[in-house]
Amino acid sequence: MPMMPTKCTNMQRELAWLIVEEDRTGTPLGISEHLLECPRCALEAQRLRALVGRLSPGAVPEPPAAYWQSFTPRLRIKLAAQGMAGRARTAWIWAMASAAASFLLAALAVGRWETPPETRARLRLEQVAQRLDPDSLQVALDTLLPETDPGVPPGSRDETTAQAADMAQALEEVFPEYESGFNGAVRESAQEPRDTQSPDPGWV
Amino acid sequence: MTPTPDPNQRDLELVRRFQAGEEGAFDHLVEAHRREIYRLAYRLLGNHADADDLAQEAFLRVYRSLGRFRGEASFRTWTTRIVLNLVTDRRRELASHRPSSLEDLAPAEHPSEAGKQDGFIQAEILRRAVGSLPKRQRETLILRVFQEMKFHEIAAVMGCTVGTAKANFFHALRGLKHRVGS
Repeated sequence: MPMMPTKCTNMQRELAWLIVEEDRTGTPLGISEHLLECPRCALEAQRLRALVGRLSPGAVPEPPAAYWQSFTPRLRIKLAAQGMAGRARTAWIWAMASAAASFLLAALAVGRWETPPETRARLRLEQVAQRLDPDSLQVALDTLLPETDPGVPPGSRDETTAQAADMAQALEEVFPEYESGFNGAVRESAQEPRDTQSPDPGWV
Repeated sequence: MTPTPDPNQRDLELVRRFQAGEEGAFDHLVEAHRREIYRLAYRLLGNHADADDLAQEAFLRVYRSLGRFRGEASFRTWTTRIVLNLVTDRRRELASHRPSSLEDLAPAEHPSEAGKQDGFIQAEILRRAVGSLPKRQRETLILRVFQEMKFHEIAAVMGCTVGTAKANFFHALRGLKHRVGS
């Protein structure tokens, strides 16, 4: 079998354009000219074109009108059966997720939901503690819990008592149940005359 | 006289309306594309029952995914790709249940009636020959000849270059010519 010239081989690759007559204006002039000159390629183009012609687009039988009328309703039934209303379900999930996200954001803004009471108590106490110098803090703790160190340096009682009262208030804010003799005693202590030198035995 | 709207623009508008919550827009999309989807399915599967089943399944998939459709390809290209994927799945499914080759298309419906027509045998040979082509060549041929898609649309559907689409088409025609012996 004689070898097909390269030009013909390349040309036949381009025949798809011509066969389906797509973009006729874009067909390179060389192809048309070659088909006029080359009987082999012209014959090949003719055969392929005939083949495409036999693939009639009208071969699919047209279903009756009733089929098309029922097409969308049947689809809707299937959508409903599959819960798709899936779209509605998705929308519902998104709505719930959005609401939850908004709620969380609001809670974060308020600063309540993300912080458990114990943590808030600790933070509040730390805030108060940061305002005290280490010595005063020790004195305040000694005042609040005198059994740990009964010796309170003279002269610092007023300031220390005031700071202790501050801390007691912080405790009361975060632990309302501490509204007890303990905190009450701190407040009473803060109101005592300045000349009191010794720890109030009532605190013990 | 009002100009005929561009089908792509119409589809995009309907998709946008669906995404905005207008449920009825989906029905309009179905109305606009159901025939083409059905015919493509019929071409690829060869009978009404399978074509109907696949067309319905294709629209179910369209519905499920339409919220994410961004219009990077045309709606037509997108739905055609869905049909081709479903057909591939269907053939794979059938092949796993049937040991014989399914490269040829299913036999035509009502062969006795069709057989009365001239050229039925030739048409049947041709149809089977199309079915026996390699997958991408067969799909390219069907999209170009039967769905009358342009090569750039076929390239978008097949995820290849226009040149590859043309080459597939050319090889499909040559393969077909070889099979039918013309």
